[in-house]
Amino acid sequence: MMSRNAEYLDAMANLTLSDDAKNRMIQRMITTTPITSISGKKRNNSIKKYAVLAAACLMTLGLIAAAFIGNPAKLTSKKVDLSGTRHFENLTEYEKAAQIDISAVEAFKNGYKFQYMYLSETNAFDGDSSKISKEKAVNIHYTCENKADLEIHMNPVIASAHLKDSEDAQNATDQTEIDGITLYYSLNEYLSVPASEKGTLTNEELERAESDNHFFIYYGSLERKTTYASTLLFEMDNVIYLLESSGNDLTTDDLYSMAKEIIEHK
Amino acid sequence: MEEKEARRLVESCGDLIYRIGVNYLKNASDAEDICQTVFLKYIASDVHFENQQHEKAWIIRTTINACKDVLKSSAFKNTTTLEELGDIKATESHETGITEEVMKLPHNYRICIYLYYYEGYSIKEIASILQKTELSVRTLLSRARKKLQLTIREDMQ
Repeated sequence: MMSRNAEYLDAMANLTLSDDAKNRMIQRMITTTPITSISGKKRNNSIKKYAVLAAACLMTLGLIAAAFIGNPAKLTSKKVDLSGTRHFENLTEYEKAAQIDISAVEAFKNGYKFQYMYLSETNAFDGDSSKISKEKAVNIHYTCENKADLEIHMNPVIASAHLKDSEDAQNATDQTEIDGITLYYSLNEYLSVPASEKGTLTNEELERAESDNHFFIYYGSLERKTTYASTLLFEMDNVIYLLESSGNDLTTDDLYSMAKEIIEHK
Repeated sequence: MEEKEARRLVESCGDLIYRIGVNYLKNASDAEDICQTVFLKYIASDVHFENQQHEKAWIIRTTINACKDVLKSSAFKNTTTLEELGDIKATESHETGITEEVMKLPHNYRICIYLYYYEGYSIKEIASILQKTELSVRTLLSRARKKLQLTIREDMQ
């Protein structure tokens, strides 16, 4: 018969995080990195990120750039994830913290359900390293069985820099209108490369990163790989919504439908 | 943060943070939230760790502080039913249900027992981590040990 001590140790040993939970945490951690120079265009640089969440940070930086600079200037930013929760009912508290009033659904008709929510903060610095902006955003993570996860990032409009004037909107591959709100869809491709293999990139890849607004190169992954992410942007009541999902599980129409539910839920 | 470093941190400390979170909050999903919070604090901190023991002690202290913040928050649900314990992945002896007995103790008893018996810290080390006196830690351990019917560790007799 097991001693009480052994029983206790055995019980504690079985309290472990699932592999899924660990992988999610790892992905979140590698997105919390500094971004280096962006000059109004999405450029390939030393961003070490997981592809799925890349668009959120670039979008925030793009909006900050549009708000604060008439001409392209050296702009850097640092995005940090703050507190998180698995309780949807904490939404009001997070809205207050980010000082925005958002529309969010707990479960979509297509099966995607709320999993957790977190607050993030992006600090932007000008060429003299002076902080020019500090913006909080609310982020909600959804899951659906056998499909890629979805994240929705909600950022306030900064200094009247509206989405319709941004590069993201202008470079969208498709758009539509729902209830007077324009939705901008894009499919982005991400090439992740280990830091040690930075020199192995071909001229074609580097040139494409310069000219193709939907192709990004990232350094710092464990292996060289190409991933895709679908994004949908829209602006409603001075809040910019970015829906983002990896791979091709969600079609353009799927994202449009989900956006419609958010818009009609307001 | 580089993927390799993130993976090292999660693999080496994830379960530790999770267990402390469960011991404090008695809820698996809140314990997972604590894991995320602590890792993000790690990234944001400027602390330089002299060695792995130093890093581990920092993580334990940060985890406990994060748990205390949750306990204080208005959003935290204070009622934990026995059914919720099923959410915690732990095997129990059907004869003694030790996990259930552990979870009935106050959280400061639970954490002392965990650090002493599972992590193998001395009373002096636990006192330093929890910022309590050695006498307080001894008292907490003694009371918890009696309730759980645990024997004193051989190396501490």
